[in-house]
Amino acid sequence: MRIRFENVQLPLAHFSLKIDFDIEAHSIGVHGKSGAGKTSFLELIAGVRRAATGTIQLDDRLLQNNGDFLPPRHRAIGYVPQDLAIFPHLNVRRNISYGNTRPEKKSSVSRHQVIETLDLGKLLDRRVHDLSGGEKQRVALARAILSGPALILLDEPFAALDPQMRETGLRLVGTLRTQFAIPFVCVSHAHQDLTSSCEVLIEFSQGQVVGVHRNADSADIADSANNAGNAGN
Amino acid sequence: MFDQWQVIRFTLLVCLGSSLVILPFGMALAWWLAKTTVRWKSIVETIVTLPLVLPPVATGLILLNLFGRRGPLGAAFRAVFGADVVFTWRAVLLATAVMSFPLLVRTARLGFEAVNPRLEQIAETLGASFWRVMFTVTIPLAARGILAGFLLSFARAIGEFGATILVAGNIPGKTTTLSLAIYSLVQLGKDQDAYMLVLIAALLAFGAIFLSEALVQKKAP
Repeated sequence: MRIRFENVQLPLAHFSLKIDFDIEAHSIGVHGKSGAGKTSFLELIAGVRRAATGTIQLDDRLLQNNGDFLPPRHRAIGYVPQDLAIFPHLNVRRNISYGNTRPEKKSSVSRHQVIETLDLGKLLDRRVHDLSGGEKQRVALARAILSGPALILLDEPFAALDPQMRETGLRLVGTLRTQFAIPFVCVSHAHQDLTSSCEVLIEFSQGQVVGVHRNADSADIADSANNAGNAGN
Repeated sequence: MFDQWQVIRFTLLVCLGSSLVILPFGMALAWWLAKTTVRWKSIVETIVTLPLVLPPVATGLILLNLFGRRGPLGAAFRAVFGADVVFTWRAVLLATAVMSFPLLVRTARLGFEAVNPRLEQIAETLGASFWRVMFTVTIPLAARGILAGFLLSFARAIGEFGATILVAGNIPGKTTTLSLAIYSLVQLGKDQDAYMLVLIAALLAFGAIFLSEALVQKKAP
């Protein structure tokens, strides 16, 4: 996966996002203090927000080129926001199937495999309001995976009051790489949570990228990603 | 002089009809008011709310002039459908629709405002079109507010008097509604019969408002 930001600007309340980079990696970790613009960065990729100016490119597709804006429904980018945004009026089964009807899928993972791997079999007919935080996280991730995305965006999957959620978050991000071979961008305020799973680490401060590092263990990570990718095909 | 059951049947039918006719327009406007950020939004809001505070007779007079045989809209209606509006059941429907529209819009709007926009955004990232998001996320989550607005508009329609009597008259068997019948009966000194209709009107109104309150207050989990 290659992501390119060129002269991308987005005015926020206290500062402006100004992003410029070109990275090729299977997994990207984004860290920085809270309020550094990490979530806005994900929202620009998802298309939930529109940059004021600049070019955003994913592989060979232009997501935004100044005024030209590819709407989120055509991006095939799965977004798992921090609040998870599970549909409260649908049960687990209908939540995870919501994006399944997308015509232009960029990845395909069998429904069965997702339900097995994320251990959702027993939850399918449950209403969502009595799910635990960790269960909700699995539902949100399954929903994103089953929409056939080219890329999945994860916002603070490890940050939660519920310690169980940090555990599942770490495990799920690992799963994404090893089992499903779907590229991802993961945001966390805690640097150490990203080193085990991301090839490239980006540091944000005041809306700007202040550092890009290839992870020291990145060779292993890239290998396992490629292996999973081959196994999947 | 009145067939009371005819009056009740007619009133229920026309009021249900008017609430159903305004429902799609009211929902669209309520949704727009809940989402838009344009500056002239408050002007639209004011116009929509006007029938709620204007004397109903004044609204009736305006409608009479617009939809009368020589009124611009009345003439247009006649040209298209070959029928008159004023002093027919259509006028009753028109008057109740206009008078109850603000209640539908204001209540449904609260329903739409309560929908977390994040859920709509996520639905879009999952590939859903505007209309799919509308029918599978927005409307289901706003349903309580919409239904409450529908019931309130229905209750308001049953109570409509001032605008109706101007545009539809009070023609027994043709345009006489529950409210108009009560007025006629009292004028004729038939208080006993009037009270029977008052009781029915009160029961209908109570039922509709009770249900709509229950819908609004019992928040979805």
